[in-house]
Amino acid sequence: MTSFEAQCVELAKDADKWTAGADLMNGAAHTAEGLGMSAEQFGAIADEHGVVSAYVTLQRQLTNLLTGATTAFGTIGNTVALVAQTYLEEDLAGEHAMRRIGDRD
Amino acid sequence: MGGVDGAFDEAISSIESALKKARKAWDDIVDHVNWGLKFLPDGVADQVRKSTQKLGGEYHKADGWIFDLLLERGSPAALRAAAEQWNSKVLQVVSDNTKNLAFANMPSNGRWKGDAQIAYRSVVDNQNKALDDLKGILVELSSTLNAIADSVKDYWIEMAVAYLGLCGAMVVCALATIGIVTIPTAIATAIGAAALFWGAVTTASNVFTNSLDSNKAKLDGLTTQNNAEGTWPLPTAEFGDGSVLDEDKKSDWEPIA
Repeated sequence: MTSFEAQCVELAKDADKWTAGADLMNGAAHTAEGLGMSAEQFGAIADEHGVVSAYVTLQRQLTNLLTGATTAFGTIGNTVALVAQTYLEEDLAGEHAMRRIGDRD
Repeated sequence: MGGVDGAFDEAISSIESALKKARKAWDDIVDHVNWGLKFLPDGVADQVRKSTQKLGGEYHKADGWIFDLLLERGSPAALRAAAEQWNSKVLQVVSDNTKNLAFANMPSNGRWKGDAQIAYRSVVDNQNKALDDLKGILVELSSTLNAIADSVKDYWIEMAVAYLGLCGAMVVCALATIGIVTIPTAIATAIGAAALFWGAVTTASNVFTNSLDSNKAKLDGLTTQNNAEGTWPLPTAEFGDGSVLDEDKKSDWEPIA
């Protein structure tokens, strides 16, 4: 494996980390979505004082954030994977080396 | 029963048992007073009738109020279980990602340079800041849920003490009304116990609602730490150009030699 190839592999490992991170966030988002609670858990008095509504608002918002993080991490992972793959393919085809020679002219 | 919320479970079960005892005591009081009225002079009998009606009103009000409240009493155990789930299944994931996805821990760190690498680094740092912010919110959420669980538990322990006091007074009153001479004093004492019950309810309710208001404010505060839609920052910096065959004929990623 050339040095360039090794560097592309390192970049691809970044992509794997983002993809794994997205999977974890997706699981956390599903957990958060299932953590809805009502007056049954908080009690009628807490409900009257707006605690249930405050919790539900926060729970939904956190679920949205975790879902958003899943999307963002997935996008980053895909982009980095594509960069690594493109770079590696073009490097194997000699395109990067040729461009660097061209840059010197 | 048992565990951290064993006292809550005991409080609920003692109130449920006291409700039954107090209902039996009230039925006995009515029977004893009706029987005793025949032997009392008219003036005294009239007073006893009125005070028994007053006691009945106070007692039924207390009985109905606590019975309704028991229907949606809350569950400290469920609140703590939710707090634990937020901790172990959400906060832990966010913490792990904060560590794993830090730029310093990226395999590409130190291997690449160029405009895209700089843009990528800003994206990674931005995502890490969002993870850190989220971590702080989740820590607070979990501790707030546990604080609410404590408040619910403490409130019902206070309610149990108050209602057991009223129930005890009703049982004593039922016994004391067996003796004709002691009926007026027994009824007056039970009315006093009902007043003490409502006093204790007011004190405990004030403490409880203050705590609920404060915890609601914490939850509201956590919500406003993010923007209203709860939007996660999406990567906007351009770091996807690894090609030399595209329009600009230049890769924004450069390997460090």
